[in-house]
Formats: sequence, C-alpha cells, structure tokens
Amino acid sequence: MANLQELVKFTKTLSLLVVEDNQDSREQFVNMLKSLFDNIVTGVDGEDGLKKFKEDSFDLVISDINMPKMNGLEMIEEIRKIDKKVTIMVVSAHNENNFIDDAQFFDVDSYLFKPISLPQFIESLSQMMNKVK
Amino acid sequence: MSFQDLSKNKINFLNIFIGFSILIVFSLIVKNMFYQYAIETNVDKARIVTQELLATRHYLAKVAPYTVITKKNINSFAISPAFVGAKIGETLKEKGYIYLKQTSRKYRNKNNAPDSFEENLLKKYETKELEGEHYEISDMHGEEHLRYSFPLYIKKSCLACHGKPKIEVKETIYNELVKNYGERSFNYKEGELRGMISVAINIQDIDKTLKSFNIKMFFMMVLLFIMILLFFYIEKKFIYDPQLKKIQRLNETLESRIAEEVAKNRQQDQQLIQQSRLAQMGEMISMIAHQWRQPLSAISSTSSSLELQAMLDKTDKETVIELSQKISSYAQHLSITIDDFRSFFKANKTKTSTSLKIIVESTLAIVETSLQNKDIELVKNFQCNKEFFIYENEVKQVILNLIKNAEDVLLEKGIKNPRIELQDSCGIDGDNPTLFIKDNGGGIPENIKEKIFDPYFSTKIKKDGTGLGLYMSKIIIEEHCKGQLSVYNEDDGAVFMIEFNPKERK
Repeated sequence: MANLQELVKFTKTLSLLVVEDNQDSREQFVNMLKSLFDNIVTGVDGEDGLKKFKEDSFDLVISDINMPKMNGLEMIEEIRKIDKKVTIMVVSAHNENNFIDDAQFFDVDSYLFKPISLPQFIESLSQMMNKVK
Repeated sequence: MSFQDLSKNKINFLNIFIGFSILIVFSLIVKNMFYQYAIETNVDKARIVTQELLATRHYLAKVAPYTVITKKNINSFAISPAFVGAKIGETLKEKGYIYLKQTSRKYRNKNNAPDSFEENLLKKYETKELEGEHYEISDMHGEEHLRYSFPLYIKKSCLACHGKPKIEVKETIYNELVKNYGERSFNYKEGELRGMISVAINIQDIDKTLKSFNIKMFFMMVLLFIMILLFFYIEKKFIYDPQLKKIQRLNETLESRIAEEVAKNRQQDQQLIQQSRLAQMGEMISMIAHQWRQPLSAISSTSSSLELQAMLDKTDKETVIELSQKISSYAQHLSITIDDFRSFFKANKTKTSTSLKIIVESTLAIVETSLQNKDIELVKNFQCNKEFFIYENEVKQVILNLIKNAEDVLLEKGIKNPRIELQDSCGIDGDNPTLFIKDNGGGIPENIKEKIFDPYFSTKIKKDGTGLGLYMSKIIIEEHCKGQLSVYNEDDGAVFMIEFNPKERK
C-alpha cells in the first residue's frame, strides 16, 4: 500500500474539477473522491464546468461527455484554448465510445468508462503523478 | 381451376365433333371415288370387248364374200360378221363372263332381238339423239348392270348382204337370206344405222364390295383419326416449342406459384412482425440500460469509496453501514425497474379499472429516464381522473410507442428545446376519456398523413423502422379497445389523440 499512500499524498495537493450533470452520480463520485482529494469543485454541465475552470486554477479535470447545454467535448475544446497543460480525464458510458477519437484529438489524458473501476482510476492517477514528477 | 378444365373439355369435344364430321364426309367422297373407279373399269372392259368384236367383224366383212362353206350342214353365212358376232356373244354368255350382243330393230336372227332397254337406245340412235358409245347403270333381271352400247353403221362391205336385192346383194345370197330369215334388212344405204353392239356387266358385286370396303374404310378412318389425335398429343406433350412450352408451363404452375407467393408474403409478414418484436425488445433493453446506468454507477462509486477507505485504513463503522445501506437501496431500485418492465410487456387478458393518469404515469416510469438523458422536456397535464375499464398494458404499449415516435422525431430533426406534452380530457360529454400526446417536432407532412397508419410505412431513416408501430397501435386501440386513434397537426408539432369509449364494458 506504499504506492497508494504515496499517491494520496500527491493527490491531496491537487485541485480537482468534476463536471457531471446527474446529481446522484456526481454526489456518489465526489464522496469517493473525498478519500483522495481535499480540494474538489463541481460543475453541473459543460457551461458550468467551463465557468468554474475560468474562475480558478485546476490541476485535474474529470468530466462526463453527454451533458446538456454544452457537452464534455465542447467544454474540453474551450478549456484547451485556455490551458494546454491541465490533465483531463473523460468519463463516459460504453455506448458513447465513438467519442474516443474526438477525445484524443483534444489531448485527453485518460478515458474511463462508467461505472468507474477503482483500479483503473488509480492507474490513471498514478500515470499523472509519474508525468508530473 | 374448374373453369379452366371445363373450357379445355369443351375444346376437346368440339375437336372430336369436327374430326368425326370430316371423317364421314371424307369416307363418303372416297367411297364415291371408288365407285366411279369401279364403273370406269367396267366401262373399259365393255369397250375392249366391243372393239374386239368390231375388229373381228371388219375382218370377216372383208373375207366373208370370198369364202365358200364346203360342208353342207354348216350355215352358209357362218362366217358373216353378224353370224360370228352372235356366236361369240352366245358363247360368252354361256360361260357367264359377259353379256355381249349385236342387236337391231330390224334383226334377222331372233336371238338378236333387242330388249326394251336396247329398243329404247336404238330409237335414240336412229333419231341421232345419241351418237357413239354410251353407258348407263340400269336394272337387268333384278340386278344392277352397267349397260354399254356402241352403234353400228352400214359400210360398203355390209351392202353385200344388206344392200338393194339383186343389185348389191347377189341373187344367190339374197335367196339364201330370204330362205333363212325372211325378207328382212335389205335396202340399206352406206352410213345408215344398222344396229348396235350391246354389252352388259353385272355390277351388283361392286356395291357389295364397296359396302364391306366402306366398313373397313370407316374403321381405318377412325384409326387414322385416333393416330392423328395421338400425334397431336405427342407433339404437344413432347415436341419442344419454346414459346408454347413456356406458356403451358406458366399456366400449369400458375396456381402453385400463387400459393408459393402467398406463402412467401405470409412469411414476410411473420418476419416483419418478428422484426418489430425484436425492435421492441431492443428498445426495451435500451430503456433498461438508461434506467440502470445511474444506479449502477452509484453502486460502483459507493463500493469504490468503501474500498478506498479500507485501503487507506480510514474506515469507521458508521460510514461502512451507511454506504452498504446505500448500495443495497440502489440494488432494490434495479430490481423494481425489472419488475416494471416485466409487468409492462406482459399481456393481460382481462380489462382493469384505471385512469389515463395512472396509465401514463406507469408508462413514463419506463421511458422517463431515457427522455431526461436526451434533454426532452416532459409536460404532464391531467385533469380527468375518471376511471374506466380497459386493457391497461396494451394501452401502455401504444402510449409508449407514441412517446418513442415523438422522441425519434425530435432527435432526428435536432429540435431545440424538445418537448413532449401529455394531456387528458374527459371528452365532449364527459364520458370519453381522451389522451393527447403532443410534440414540437414540426408536425406530419400533409402528403404522408394518410399513410402513417398503413402497415410497413416508415419515415425513420437511422433507426430501422419496421413500419408496424403505428399500424399495430391503431389495431390495438380501434379493434381491441374499441377506441379511436387519430392524428392532427397543431402549432409546432403533431398531436396523436386516443379516444376511449368506456361504455364498452366486458
């Protein structure tokens, strides 16, 4: 568990933006993330997420794709115009995997399927940590 | 089928009738031909006999005047043409070959006296009514005979016995003739009619032969006819005529082909119904997926939280209990969803008392998440809570189908702020619960409005529409539930109206 402890030490220093339109999903996800992150900001759709991103500086953005008003990819496109370095993870349902190509185009760091598998999520975070180091 | 056979038979009867008529006429003609031929043959026979006799007579007429009979008991005219001719005729008659006779109205030999038939002919020769050979068929001793006659005219050589006595006929000959036959047949001039050669041939046998021939002939003809029929049959059946054969085969196989096509159509119908069922199931699965996605991801997140906390040694009793209960409640939710779907697609055989609001609410329980995920606004407006008896699940399926159609249109056209409105009314007289399902998808084009309830009519491009949804809906509402399903355009979309008639209670 040395790795995990090390990872948590790293993640606790990060500021995180979570964008997810479904309230239940968002809350459950944030509940889980609280074990890893201390600084979590949430957005309820793409528009809201972009607004929050502009207001603060973030190390990591985790976003859903299929959302009203502005979808995840549109939001990422806008974010990338502002910040080319921020780590972006996309979380999406399996039947939306035709977005993967678009996501790669916008330099998305990780692509996760719903429901999120913990080992995969930890693996993605580890990759991010290694990059930063 | 029966009509075709009948007409076939008719043609066959007609053919046989015509065939027999031709047969009879033909056999009559043939019989007549043979009869004519037989007569001609006999005439020839008579002619030859006559010519032979004439030749003999000519020869004798030349030699006789210079011939002397030396034997006393032989008639001194024994080699005269008349005498020899008579003898030949008698001999032939005795042997039964033929009737040959020289005859004249001024006969010398009594045996040469004409019968009534010959007498008649001689008169005609005298008056020149007849000239040259003549033949006809006449009755003789009760039997049919060919009567042939050839006139004899006086030639120079004849005058030795028939000329003027003592001038042309020598006195000695004259005396002898008078002594034998009396003062008869003198004073003829050259070229005058002396008499005629008469031939008679019995042709009774020809008739008999022809009659038996006729019977044989008839049988032969029948045989021939049958052979011809057989020939045509064989030709029709076995000899190859591509065009004719093709048509025949088409006709023969027409019925079975129709049956085949009907069966094929039925199979296609079955396939389409099967397809629509599959599509329905596919839709159901997709709806279940929508219903399940959020609870599943909540379960996943919650269990991940627990796992993480355990890994970080941060677990406390209260959190574990709380999160476990949450997981369990999500699982309950999943289970309820399945029950909803199962009861929804279960066909109920009896009517139940319900209201439009209840029906619509339980339908929306299934489809609501899917609509929310697609950001379709759902507007509900229920005022009439009247309960009535109806096949609840069938109506639910119709409503689901109409909502799904609206959803498809809104997505396909990419309508902004998509909206589906569900509204009820108690009807004009308050006794006709009516449901309106309205969308803002732009309405149904006028040119297809008439066709949308037709089977296999579909406008859906991306989704493989079977074209059976609205057709089935109309059947369910109008034939099973005795209601009315209609459509009209209003404002910015189409309105499907389902009217029920609760008086129909069973």
